[in-house]
Amino acid sequence: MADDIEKLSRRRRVILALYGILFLGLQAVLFKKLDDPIELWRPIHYAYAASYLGWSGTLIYIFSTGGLLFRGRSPEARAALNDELTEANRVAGYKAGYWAVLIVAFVLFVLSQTYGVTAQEALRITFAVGVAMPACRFAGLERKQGA
Amino acid sequence: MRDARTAVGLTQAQLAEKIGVSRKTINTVENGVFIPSTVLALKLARALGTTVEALFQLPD
Repeated sequence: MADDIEKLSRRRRVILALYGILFLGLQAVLFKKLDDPIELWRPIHYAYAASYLGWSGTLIYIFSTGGLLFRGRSPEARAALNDELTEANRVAGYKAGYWAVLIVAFVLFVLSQTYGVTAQEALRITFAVGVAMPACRFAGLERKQGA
Repeated sequence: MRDARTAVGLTQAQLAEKIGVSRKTINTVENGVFIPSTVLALKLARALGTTVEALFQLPD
């Protein structure tokens, strides 16, 4: 069972890091599409919006519970995969997300004095950082600890 | 804690399995990176056949 837990733990860490980084990286693409006025939205816009929401939801769900990756595993394995250290890493992830969101909000506020930052853009950037940062911090800690 | 574990002949993975945590949790506790809760400390002590006080001490 120990090997199985190691493997699943590593998989969660890699998926969260990749998902988080890709999620941030794809914002530029998603931004362009979702910036069009809603009256002009075609099916492709809805597909982008759905993928954006789906991606965020999945990332939040995997980070918060890890449940999606551990379906069908024994209760013992699930408990070991969500043990005290994992919970502590999650808390560290939430903290990192909190600070990242505060910093990004402040930077956007400063930028908005000079550049035209719309409310939609500011909300999307802040949301994206708030979703991706905890996942990346968690993955980083798990990696450091040898997961 | 490492000494107590090796004294009873358990690997980190075996001890982890015995008390239902991951191996990295045992590793980080042994290296002083992670401070376990009271419940986990009690479980560790029971699994290693010793007391919490014998496993963990406050720094002088």
